[in-house]
Amino acid sequence: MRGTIRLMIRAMRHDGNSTSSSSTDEDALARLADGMLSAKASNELRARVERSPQLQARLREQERAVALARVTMDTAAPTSLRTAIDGLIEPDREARREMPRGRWRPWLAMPAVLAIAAVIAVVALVRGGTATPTVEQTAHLALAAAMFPAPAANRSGSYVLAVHASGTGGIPFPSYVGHTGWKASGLRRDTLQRRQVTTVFYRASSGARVGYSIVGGNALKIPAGRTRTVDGTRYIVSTGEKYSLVTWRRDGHTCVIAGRSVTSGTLLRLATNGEDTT
Amino acid sequence: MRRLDPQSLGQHIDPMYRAAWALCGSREDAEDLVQETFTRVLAKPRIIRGDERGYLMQALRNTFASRFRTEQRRPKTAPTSDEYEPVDTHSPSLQRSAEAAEILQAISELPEDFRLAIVAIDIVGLSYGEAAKALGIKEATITTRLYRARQRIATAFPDVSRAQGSAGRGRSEPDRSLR
Repeated sequence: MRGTIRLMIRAMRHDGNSTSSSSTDEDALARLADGMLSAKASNELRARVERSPQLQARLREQERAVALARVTMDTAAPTSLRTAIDGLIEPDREARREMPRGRWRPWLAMPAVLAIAAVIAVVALVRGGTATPTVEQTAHLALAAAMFPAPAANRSGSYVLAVHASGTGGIPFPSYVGHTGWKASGLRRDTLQRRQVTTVFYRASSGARVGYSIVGGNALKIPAGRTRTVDGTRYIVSTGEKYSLVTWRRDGHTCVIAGRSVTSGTLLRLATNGEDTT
Repeated sequence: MRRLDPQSLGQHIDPMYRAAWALCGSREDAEDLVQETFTRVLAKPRIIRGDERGYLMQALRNTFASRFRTEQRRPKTAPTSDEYEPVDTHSPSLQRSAEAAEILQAISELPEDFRLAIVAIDIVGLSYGEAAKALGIKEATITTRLYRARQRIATAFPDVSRAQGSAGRGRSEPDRSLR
């Protein structure tokens, strides 16, 4: 912007009848030809061009070259090249890059897996070995470490990932990358009180992370919390120890999205897929 | 600053291919250059500032400088007549693609500084600021180089505006003394 203003001032000071090939003229003519000169500077220069046949010829040259370059815009990369590059951008490669130190090392996740199992066992014991998992237990899984690389986006629809929640008859996980910037970063599958729980982890460019768990089988008991309703679906916003969570149901199955250092508003936005809440 | 998203790079294949063609002067070398560039970029996570396209242009230029310039000094092989596929030379789309090929070839014959300037701005579509950053030069320098590159290209295709209007009818032979 500052450069354009400087250019404009220099162009204004320039003698209209001059035929010199100063760099000021070159700058201004180049920018005028491709529309990168500001409106005011363009008007000034066009007035000078009208008075000078030489400037007219020089501008025509620039415009002709720009038009020639545009002729090449229809040239597309051959399919073979596109296929080769698509192979480089394959989701597995991206998923591996998501892992710490660039490589997936499952044994590093073992302590976390054992800790989660212990927490779940203790919670189950305290609750008298209930046969139904709780939302709190599910939230712990949503806050746990990933066990597998991130699922890829489903090619047939950009808003869902190519992974379904187990025991739900095929409920897909959303792909947020297009409209919220949150990107799938990992996956885990657990069995909680004989219920299959599938969790997809998402990460924002800021580094914040959330887990989205879907519990197979019948719906769980929803905890107390603030209620928001979107398109007839009730979303319950609550908090645990140093984390927030949102719980709701999809096709009769309980979904939990939880995260630390993430506001409940953000969780709600992810849960509702960006819809406004009431 | 943000992390380069590999999934978003697919949309830049076409402009990078055109840019590579204009740098190398042959579509086969352009394919190799683009593939090599993407391989390098995707080899590890990248943190970028600004536009992805500018970053890719910079990577393309670096790959070209480090590998292709050396290779281009080696003798080239040309396809024999058996390798050419029979084509309908009256097809308008074919004529247009032949014209595009001629233009890209002409750009590839410009001096390197001029070539890079016109490729970054007119072929890849970067702004002057982005192009200056991608090429590591001042904005004023790139504008001057762009101006002169365009002058040469316009001189090499003196009748092209009329030829475009008549879809390739009787365009005069371009003057290829660009250097």
